[in-house]
Amino acid sequence: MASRRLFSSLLRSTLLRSPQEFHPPTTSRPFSSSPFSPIAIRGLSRSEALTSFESNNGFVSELRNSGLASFQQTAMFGPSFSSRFMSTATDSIGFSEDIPNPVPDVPPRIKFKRLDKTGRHIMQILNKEAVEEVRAQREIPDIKPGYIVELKVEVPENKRRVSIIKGIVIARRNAGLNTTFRIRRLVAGVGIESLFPLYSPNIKEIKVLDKKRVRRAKLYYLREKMNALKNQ
Amino acid sequence: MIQPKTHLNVADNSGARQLMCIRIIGAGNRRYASIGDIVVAVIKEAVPNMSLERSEVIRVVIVRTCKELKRSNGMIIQYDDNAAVVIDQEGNPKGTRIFGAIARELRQLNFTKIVSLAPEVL
Repeated sequence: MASRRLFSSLLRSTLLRSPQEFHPPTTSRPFSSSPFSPIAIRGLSRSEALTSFESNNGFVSELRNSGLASFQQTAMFGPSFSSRFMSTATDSIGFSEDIPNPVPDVPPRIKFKRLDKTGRHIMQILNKEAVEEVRAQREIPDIKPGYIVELKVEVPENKRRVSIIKGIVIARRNAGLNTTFRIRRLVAGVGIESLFPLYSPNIKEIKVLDKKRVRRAKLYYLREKMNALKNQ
Repeated sequence: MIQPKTHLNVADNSGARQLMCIRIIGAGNRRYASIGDIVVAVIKEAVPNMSLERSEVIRVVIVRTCKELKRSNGMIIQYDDNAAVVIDQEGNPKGTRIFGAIARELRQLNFTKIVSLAPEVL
């Protein structure tokens, strides 16, 4: 917090001192490499230009280092910090939309390229995170069509729990967290196809028993081939 | 999605072999019947020398459909044929044995006798 005050006081002093010399050298961007600075390329260009202006004008070089550090710190509070400059800055289109992480105290867990661009594929990022969370919890093997697979499914209504389902995977549909796969099996003389979400918490265990060589991604031809009822 | 004119297999040993649906029991102009619905059917083919005869109108409950049955946990079950079990007015099955797998949803619909006789409950 102290860095913020220091920063803003510095900026105010420079503004008072030399208003006409203030033309931001926007070409010189030493901060573009740091991961947090591009949060506010447009809105904070004034401030980063000021810091480069200060460093170019022979302020203490450690100020530059501390400026970097404090800049990074303040970049975390970026949204609220830059809002101070929003009234003066003209082209701050990037801040017109809502920031996905409104809490400034939480360190951003995702890499931002540009704030407005992240907003477009935020669902993709959330999906990936949810999938990783489930994968870290339990081990889910790779399931491809043609695998013979044995599942242990918990049925909450049954209370007697785990039923074992064994069959051949005939299809797999990738959709992030909603990835599903279809299993075909013969039960008591009737062919049954079941579709399961891969990351469902009801699936307790998946075991791959055998892998058949197939030349297709969806094995729907097995409906005619593996049909116990039709052959009569 | 069973509708009138649909042929159904019979999943028990009541004596019928093939049925044809003629009406769906329920409110109003119901178009389709799925697992757990009661349907009026006529016997198209029967096993000889048993209590049920051909062209007899009876009530049946649907137990298997080719149209998938969706569950709230994301699971979907789909059978290879359409089948029904012959019942009487109370809902008790007329036969003594059930063939094939039965979906769990029938238990909630008070067909407990059918579920208990089933060789496998999915």
